[in-house]
Amino acid sequence: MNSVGQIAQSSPWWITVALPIVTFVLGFFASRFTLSKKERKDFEQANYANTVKLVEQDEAAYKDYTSALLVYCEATDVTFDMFTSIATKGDVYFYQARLTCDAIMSGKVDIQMRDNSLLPRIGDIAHKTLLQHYEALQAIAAKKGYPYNGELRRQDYVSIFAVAERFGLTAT
Amino acid sequence: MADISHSLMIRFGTSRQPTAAETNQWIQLTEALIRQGVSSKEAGQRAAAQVLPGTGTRVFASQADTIEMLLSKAKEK
Repeated sequence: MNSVGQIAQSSPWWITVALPIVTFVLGFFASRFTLSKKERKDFEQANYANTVKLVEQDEAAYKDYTSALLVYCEATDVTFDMFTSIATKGDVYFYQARLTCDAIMSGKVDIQMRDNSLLPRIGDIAHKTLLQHYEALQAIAAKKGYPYNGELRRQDYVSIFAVAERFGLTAT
Repeated sequence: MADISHSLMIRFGTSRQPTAAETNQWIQLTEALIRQGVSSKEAGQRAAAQVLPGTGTRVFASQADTIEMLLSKAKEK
């Protein structure tokens, strides 16, 4: 183009050599460190699909856990198996919450769904449900004479508390 | 600031999601009440009753609420 020709004529020889090289290098690094629009759309779509899956798994684990609790509550004669079921289904529910928190920390979730659905639940689990779950199981075990030595250990749920802290979640 | 309209709907059980204008009104009214010395929770509740559409007409039982209820029932058995 004209302007390049003018630059070529009026500048020292090394500028005409350096200019295309520098612009190539700058362009190269710019493309390495930024996302094209399509790349950004793909990224958002993957995050959305990811989040939908996490919500589905969370709902399934929640359903199982509450079913186990309901069975225990509605039984005329409770059994040790029913008690164990509550403990293990609770574990699955919290495990699922941990997976969700890991995904949140690595930025692999849809932001809207994270703020509307995921974070409120994580806040509740961190501040209420975890404690209530273990307290209830300990109380029931003591009452019925079941062998049980589960307790809330924070190191088992690091990612849940990390998310609660990072997003300033409080009990609702 | 993140959009809290959805959270307000869940927290105060409004009949529909508040508009941006209603949300801003709620924020200002809550802050004004807190400055007058009302507790933050009470201030939020009062502001919602005044400003948000259909406060308390719906109940969104959170997962945690249901679990809490079931756990305390189980403890009584």
